[in-house]
Amino acid sequence: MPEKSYREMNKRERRRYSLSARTARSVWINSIVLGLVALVIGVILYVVALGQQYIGLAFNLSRQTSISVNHANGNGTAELADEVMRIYRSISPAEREKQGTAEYRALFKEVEESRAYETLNDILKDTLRRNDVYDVYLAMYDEKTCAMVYMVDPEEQDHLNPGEWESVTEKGMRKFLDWNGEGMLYDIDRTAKYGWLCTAGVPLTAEDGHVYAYLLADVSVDIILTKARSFVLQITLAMFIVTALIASIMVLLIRKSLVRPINSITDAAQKYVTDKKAGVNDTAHFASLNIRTGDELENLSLVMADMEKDLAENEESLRKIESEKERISTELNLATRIQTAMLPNIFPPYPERTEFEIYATMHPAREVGGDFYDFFLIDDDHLCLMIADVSGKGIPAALFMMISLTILKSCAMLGSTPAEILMRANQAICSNNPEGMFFTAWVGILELSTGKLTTANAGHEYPAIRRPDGSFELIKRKHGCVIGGFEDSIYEQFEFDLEPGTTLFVYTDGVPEAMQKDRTMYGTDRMLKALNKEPGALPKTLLENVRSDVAAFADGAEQSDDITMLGIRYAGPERKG
Amino acid sequence: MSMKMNLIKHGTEGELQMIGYIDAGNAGEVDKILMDLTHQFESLVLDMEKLEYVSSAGLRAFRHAYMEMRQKHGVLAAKNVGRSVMEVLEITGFTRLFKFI
Repeated sequence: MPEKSYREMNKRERRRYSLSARTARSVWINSIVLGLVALVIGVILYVVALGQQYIGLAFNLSRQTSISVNHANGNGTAELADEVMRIYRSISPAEREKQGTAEYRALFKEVEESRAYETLNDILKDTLRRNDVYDVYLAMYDEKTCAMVYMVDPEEQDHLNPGEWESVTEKGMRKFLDWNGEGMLYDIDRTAKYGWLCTAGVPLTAEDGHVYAYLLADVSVDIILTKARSFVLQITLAMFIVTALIASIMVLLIRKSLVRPINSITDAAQKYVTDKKAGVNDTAHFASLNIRTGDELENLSLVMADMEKDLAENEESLRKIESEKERISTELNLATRIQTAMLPNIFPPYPERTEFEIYATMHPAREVGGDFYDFFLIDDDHLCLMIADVSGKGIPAALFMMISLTILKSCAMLGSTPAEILMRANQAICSNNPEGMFFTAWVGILELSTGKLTTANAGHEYPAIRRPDGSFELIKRKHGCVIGGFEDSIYEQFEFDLEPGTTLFVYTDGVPEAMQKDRTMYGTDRMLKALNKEPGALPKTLLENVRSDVAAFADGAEQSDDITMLGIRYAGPERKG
Repeated sequence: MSMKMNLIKHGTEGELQMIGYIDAGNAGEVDKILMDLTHQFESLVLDMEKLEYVSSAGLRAFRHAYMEMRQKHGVLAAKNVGRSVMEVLEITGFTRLFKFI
């Protein structure tokens, strides 16, 4: 499933109180785990302590009772016990099995009706009534039959009459038989009749030193377990209530100290975005939060406030840069238009003249260029042609180009020869050129009535010429140095006689030095080939052919230099009439 | 940079090996280096064996170096000039900037 951005979430998906819910959950889980551990430990300790307490109770009870029992009848108690054992041992095992019947009870009638029995029964009954034990009784151990023979049992529900007995295990009895009088004497055992039972007791010793009976107290383990159960219930309930309380308090605290500040930061951030979109100019979304939690959240809100401030400042400077850029772009645009307007760009320029056809273009590499061309009639019979290339490109070149164009044109207007024009222009430029700018220029003057072309070259590319029925070739003649190079430069001039139908092509180095991405150059060979593509082509077509061939060659590589071309076809002298 | 230069010193004569090309993009930098060298040396030799191309902006830097050298009566020389660079120097008439050795 793709993650949704906060903006795309609906109200339900935007979590408002997850943190507090999570805190409540973790409080509950912690409480339950800790509570369970505490409960188990508590129950074990409780049961052990309770057991100890009950055992102690039973043991102390039996010891105290044994004292009163011993004193109650003088030697009567011991005698009574011996009497019961005497009768018990005298009857056959078969008769012993009849215990619980009236017949069996009758055998011990004398004991039961004795005054000593009654006293003991009263004492034990009273003790039982006043203490939280299951039973407290007097019994003797018969080693031979491995049985406890009861003498006095005050308990009413499972009451045993004198002489009645219960089988015991030798192992269970061992503790009682071997007791040396130290510590508490008790045994926990599971009986078929009473379930888990803890029996504590003390032996009763006659004057002659023999143990005639045991005074025993039974404590039901069930009581301990019942108490432990209610303990567990109470503790669990208490734990639940405390946990619920803590969880609610935590939720409230978390909401106050965490959730609300975080939500307010979230809301501020959201408002920041909506305001930004709506164009509301508020730069204090986070600064106005006023979170005073004194912790990381306060830090966060402060950092956010700083960030907002920085962003606003950045935006402001970006806006400034942007408007600056816009201004420059507007200015450059205007500069381009001014520069383009400087060069004759309406073709045909002299519709009434039939002697020549001319076409020229200038494509700057940037908004403005350092190349220029110009042509104008010096007088009715002389057409001046010029093309030039200022060193470098861009705005510096364009500025220098403007002055160069003006100077060159002024010099040409004086009506001198191309060599003189170049020489004067060179002197003019050199007289004040601290930046060492220079330009290459080719100047030609065509006498329209005869086709005589006079040219001079100041470091400019070789022109190409096509005679009628021939093809384009470069005319390499001696060059003078660039305009602005050296004050003392002199220029040679050459004359050509153009037959009608001759085409001349001049260009700047932007054509042969057009580059592909790997810096391979276009070169004059490719240029001549493009010029010769359409043998009879007029200047406009020629220039378009070269331009598109250069573009195809560059294959998308950025144009590195201005590309300027001028083509003229001499048609012959004006036909009169 | 589209231009790499190695300088070899022979006492008061510096020899600068120029590798790559000079166009409007790096001409300013080349100009600065050349200025620095014209101040350092009595004569400066530019080894153009591996110089592939010089644009008009590059020629301006050369001219600037020439003017500086001429002012202090030093010598600006060039050697191993390749065909394409030589062509540019010839076309523009800037062959007179250098003493070719």
